[in-house]
Amino acid sequence: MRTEVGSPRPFGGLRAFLWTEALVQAHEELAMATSMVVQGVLLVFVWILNPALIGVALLGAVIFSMFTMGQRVLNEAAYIRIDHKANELYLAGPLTAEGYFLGLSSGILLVYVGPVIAVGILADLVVHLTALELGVLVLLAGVVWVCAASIGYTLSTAFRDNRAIWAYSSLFFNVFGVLPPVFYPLDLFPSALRPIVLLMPPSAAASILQTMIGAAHPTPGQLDLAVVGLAVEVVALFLFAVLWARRTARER
Amino acid sequence: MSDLALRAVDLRKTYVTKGSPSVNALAGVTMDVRRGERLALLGRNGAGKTTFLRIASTLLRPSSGTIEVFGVDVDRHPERVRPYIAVVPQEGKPFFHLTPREQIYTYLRARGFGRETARTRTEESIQRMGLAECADRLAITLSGGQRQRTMVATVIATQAPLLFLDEPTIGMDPFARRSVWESLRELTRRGSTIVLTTHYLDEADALSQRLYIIERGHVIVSGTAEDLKRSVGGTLKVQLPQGAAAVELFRSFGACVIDGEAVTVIVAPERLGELMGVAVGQHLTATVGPVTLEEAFLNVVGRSIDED
Amino acid sequence: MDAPGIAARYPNVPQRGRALPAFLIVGWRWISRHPAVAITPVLLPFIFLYFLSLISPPSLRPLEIVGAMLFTMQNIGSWVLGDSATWRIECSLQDLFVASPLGRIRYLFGIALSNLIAMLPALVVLAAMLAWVGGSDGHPLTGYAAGVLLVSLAVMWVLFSSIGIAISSRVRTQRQIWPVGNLTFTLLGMLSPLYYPVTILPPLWQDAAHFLPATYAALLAQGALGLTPATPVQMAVYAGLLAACAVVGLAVTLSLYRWGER
Repeated sequence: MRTEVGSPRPFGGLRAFLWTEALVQAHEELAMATSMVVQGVLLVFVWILNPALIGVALLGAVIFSMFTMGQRVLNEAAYIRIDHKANELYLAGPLTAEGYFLGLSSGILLVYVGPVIAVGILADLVVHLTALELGVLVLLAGVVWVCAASIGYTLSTAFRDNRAIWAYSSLFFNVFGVLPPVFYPLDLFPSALRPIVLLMPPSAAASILQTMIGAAHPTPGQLDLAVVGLAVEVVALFLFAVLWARRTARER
Repeated sequence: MSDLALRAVDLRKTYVTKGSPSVNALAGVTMDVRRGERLALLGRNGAGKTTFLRIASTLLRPSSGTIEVFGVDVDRHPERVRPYIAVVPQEGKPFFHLTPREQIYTYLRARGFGRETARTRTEESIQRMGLAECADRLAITLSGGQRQRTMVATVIATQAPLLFLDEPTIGMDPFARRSVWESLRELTRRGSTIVLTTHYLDEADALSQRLYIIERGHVIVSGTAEDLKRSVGGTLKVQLPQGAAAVELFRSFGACVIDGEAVTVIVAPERLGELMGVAVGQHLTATVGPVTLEEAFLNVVGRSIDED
Repeated sequence: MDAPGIAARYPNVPQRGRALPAFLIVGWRWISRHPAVAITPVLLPFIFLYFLSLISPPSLRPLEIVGAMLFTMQNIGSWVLGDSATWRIECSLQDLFVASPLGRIRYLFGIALSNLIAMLPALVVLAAMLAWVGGSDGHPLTGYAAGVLLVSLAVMWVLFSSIGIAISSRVRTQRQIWPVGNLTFTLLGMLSPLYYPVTILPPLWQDAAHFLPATYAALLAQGALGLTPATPVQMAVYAGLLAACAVVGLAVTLSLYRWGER
């Protein structure tokens, strides 16, 4: 008897794994409760030291929160692989590697997006966003999430030791999220270095939003750099993550 | 001074977890371990072996009962006992960023040994456990078996008077297991006492001088491996691949275990000839061999489950 | 006192473990084999200081550097929590040390020391920055100020390492390590006025901050450097309150610190 074996559908198993991961994450009450601690600390510092910047900081908190979901993806993917070796269990089946990557990322998004929405609402109340600005905020939040999830998953394959993850991921996400103008206006950042931070997804997204609400004044060239750079990055990072997931589904 | 390294009397342990029913891991275990002895604890998964080991090695407190190591109450004065014990935990892993050599040396220094003693014992332990090839590789690059060997080597190097080993050869190849056995025999020759748990019954057979079988928190058997084998009604087993149809003819010889068309009969040596005569008369092929500890274990624990 | 006869029977068994030689190796090997891991504790305070420098007045700069030093030391607690929980839960290594003559205090000291090694470069650089910025700002790093700062840092190191290990002994799974550490040490860093004078906080917050030992460490260091006004009497009060908080804090954490299981 011949058994017909077809090619797996792209992103096959995504929905099933999304719900699996969402269920897992929904039990992590402690992680959910502490998901906004760093953002909270930075917002408090801004409120105490320079309350005029609180609107910018709140928008930055939304972007930063979506970016740190990449850190969760990194931690989760590495933990499943190193501690549980459960990725082998899932991937030796009809679940595709890209379905695993995106399902894991989406499951995390589903569980942790609630507090982000709350901060977004707060930002709207403080900044009084127009419908267009709100739409752009949602779009940019999604773009940053895709970039962060892609980076997080790709980086997760590099670790063999849980202990090393915290140090590296903490550094990475602070360099990308706290150092550049995410919680403060682009105008305060040294002008010579602005092109660099405008190529980083979170600060590019934050700068676009700051420009729209009049809190930052980049040159037209700088704004184009942010927009085009972000558009290219989101596609490139996502495609790379999909290809990398397929490549690393089997160890070499 | 007492001849006992360890003495437990009516030891009990109940695990209480919020939101789950409580678990009676130990329901009154009484046992002795003599100095210089190698003792094995056997039992099914969840029987209570690891719980007993952890209580004896001061890692866990009992719910009730007493347990003494070298005459010291382990629950009331664990700090007095700790210099004289060492433990290989179940599924332990070495520090990932250290090499096996550094792992062993560091642990010996942490236990208070001087530099020279620690160095000498480290090298000895590496050689004994066959870790020379990977002694200077980071633990994170080692296989599971090599990591386990590193953990065993770390504890063996202490030459502690009482060693607790929880499934020490799990994940090891047959050569490595035999290295561990030989190292443990050497330690007892030097005066150490060994208490180990294992699921490898050939290991318990080869290594232990006495054993206890724990089932559902109770000791159901204690004695030597030979005692246990004899307790099933014989020391020989006859395997009849097509014998199931005629099993009634063999029941009088001893315990019969049916597996599909095959039957295995446990028989005393003096009745072997008679049994073979019956088998030949039925035109059945038969293979004769010694009863293994595994068969005895299955028989004894199986009976215990049936009785419950 | 040993069991009757056992010490005589086994005279060569060391009665007391030694954390220093062992954990110096553990700590040093960690950063020598993962140099990038040593960079994180160095860079993180600077990333945060840079952020603060953009949103706060320049006059707060020396105070923020002192705050970064104190926060770095406080954050050792988070690393101690991570290490000790990982070694206990993932590797079962703590069992080896429990069943040994090392003892829980020496073990705590060992882990705290191994993490201090990773933090030292950051502290040295921050101290150099403080000497330079403070000197040019009219707040020189005198011997007295350096001494007070060192004592404050030492107290923070001991106290927060013990907080870290006490919490770690209660963590049950690997997944809980990061959120618990994040919640505890980031919140403590926020609630205490490490990066700004306590006087700019809302009144209710100021009252709450006075229950935290890091607040007194900050007040002492800021007062010794002349960054905030403090009379000798006030300094003595801060020192006394820091000591009292430390004693109470240590008593609580050591009672919570579980060495063996129940």
